[in-house]
Amino acid sequence: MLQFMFRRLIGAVITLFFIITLTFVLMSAIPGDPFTSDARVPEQVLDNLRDHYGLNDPIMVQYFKYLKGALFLDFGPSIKWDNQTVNELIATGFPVSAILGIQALAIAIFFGILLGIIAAFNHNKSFDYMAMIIAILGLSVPSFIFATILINFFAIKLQWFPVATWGTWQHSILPSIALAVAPMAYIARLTRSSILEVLSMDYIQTALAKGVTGYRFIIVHVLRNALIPVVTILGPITATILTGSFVIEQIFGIPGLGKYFVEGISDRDYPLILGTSFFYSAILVFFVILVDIAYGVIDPRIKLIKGRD
Amino acid sequence: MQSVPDHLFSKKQSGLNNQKLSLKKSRSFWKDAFYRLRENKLAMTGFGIIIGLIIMSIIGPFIVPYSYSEQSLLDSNLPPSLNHWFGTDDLGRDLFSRTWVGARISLFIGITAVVIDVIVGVLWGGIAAYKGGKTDEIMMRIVDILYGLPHLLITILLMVVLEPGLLTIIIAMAATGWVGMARLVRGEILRLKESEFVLATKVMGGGLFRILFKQLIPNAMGPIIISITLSVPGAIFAEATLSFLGLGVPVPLASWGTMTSEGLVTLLTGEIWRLFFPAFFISLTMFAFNVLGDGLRDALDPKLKR
Repeated sequence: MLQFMFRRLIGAVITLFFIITLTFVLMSAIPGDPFTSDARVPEQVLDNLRDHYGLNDPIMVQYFKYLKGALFLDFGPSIKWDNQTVNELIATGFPVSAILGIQALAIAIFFGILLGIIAAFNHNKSFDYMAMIIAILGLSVPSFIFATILINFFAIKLQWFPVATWGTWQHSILPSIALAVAPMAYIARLTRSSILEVLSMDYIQTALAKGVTGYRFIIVHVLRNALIPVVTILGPITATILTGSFVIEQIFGIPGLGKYFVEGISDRDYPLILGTSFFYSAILVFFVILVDIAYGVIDPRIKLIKGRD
Repeated sequence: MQSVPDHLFSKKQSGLNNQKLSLKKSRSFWKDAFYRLRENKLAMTGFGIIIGLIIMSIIGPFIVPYSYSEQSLLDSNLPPSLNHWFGTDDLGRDLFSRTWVGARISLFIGITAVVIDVIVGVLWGGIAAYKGGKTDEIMMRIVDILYGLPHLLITILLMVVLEPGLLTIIIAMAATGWVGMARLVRGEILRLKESEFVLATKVMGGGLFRILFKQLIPNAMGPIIISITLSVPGAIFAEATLSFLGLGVPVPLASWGTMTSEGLVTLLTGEIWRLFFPAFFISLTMFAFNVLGDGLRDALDPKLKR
């Protein structure tokens, strides 16, 4: 177990180092700099500004400054947001995005598994077809389109929820649902096929023959085994929700991390882009490791020492 | 010695013929899969929708007398009518024409990006699996690292760096998309490379590329085709997302993503058709590819049949 975690940790550090280097290389290749749009400012002032933010330093110096920043989790001042450091921006944006993401993940997992169970235990009956049609629609309608449908019906026509922005818990409902739909559909399909596979196993026949029925049968005998594949896709699903929030936060005008990232991109705010990219990747890598460990705990057949897939 | 009557020979021969005939009638794997696919109504509906969309993306813009970029401010924001079937946008551009130009771009980007994914992924995964050992270790380490990254984030960063345009989007998406394909192909080839027919070719002196392209990849084609079909909606979705964030095709070109993005404001102003048509067709396309992919999976993998 320890050896496995150590290996994964090394892998995580390599991945993060790679993303740091990649984002840095990409950033320095972007044409123009954050001050290009300020056309009226004299050249001398621009030069001073670039000096202040270290943009006149040789490229290697900038790179090592950034590496050091990533190591100590300090990405310096933002360029467009006056008097605020990237750390402060992440600190304000992250809780908002985290609430959104966790709610979306919870909705996706709960309703996804529920839908999958309903479908599998009504195999080839109308409930099954209904659940699977919902699932395939959920996979086919992009989240930003689903978001506009939600806004149109529940915020504009019915006025149950606010149209946009952030504040009370009502604000978080529609964006969480919009973010959750595709992962939910994916989980539902996987749960269904996984349960159907488990139901054909010998040990299920044994359990049935022994007279195990009801919830005990469903939860202990079927779900415990059927949910293992579902756990493995939680990593990719977290990635979907993380990157999905770029668009959803944009549509609903939510001041989360995704909004800062997208605005950082259009503002050429290098420290902000580098900081948020690193932060996103770190969360994802951390989550994937967590999922791997959970996988080993849930499925005793998996030997973690072996490491790679 | 008594001579053997002729009819005995002929009888024997006709028996052999019968056997040959029955052998001929047995269906190949692909034919069998095709029959199974044809039985699947949902998958065939998806296939029909895809064909229809491709045809309309070719001829659609020529059906109406308006071009996709022609502005006419007097006719701005007209609802769907006999003149403008899908209505017009705020600059008076005909949305029917724009929708099918958008279809062209969305489908082109989706399919091309996936084709590049397949070429790179098959080569990478194939070579890694076939060579094995250190080569495999290094090549798959790289894949593991890329796999652990948030793809859309990398694609967005690439879009900012490169010149905006059609080619850029395809490159930016293919840069991360091939990783999944490489993993899939590696797994398949690892499974196949111990087979007797590969050994036979090796003994006869067949080289790496011969074994890879004549034996391993054709045998791994089933999962690859399924993955292609299910990757196209992903690519179309990614393109729409990029366009939605303002990083898509440059104006006046239209893709469904840019049209949805431009139409978003109509939620509040009421010209809802500007949002409806692109949103509907993105969803329809993704639906069609998803159900076709599902059908292909069921058809090509009979073990999974339930």
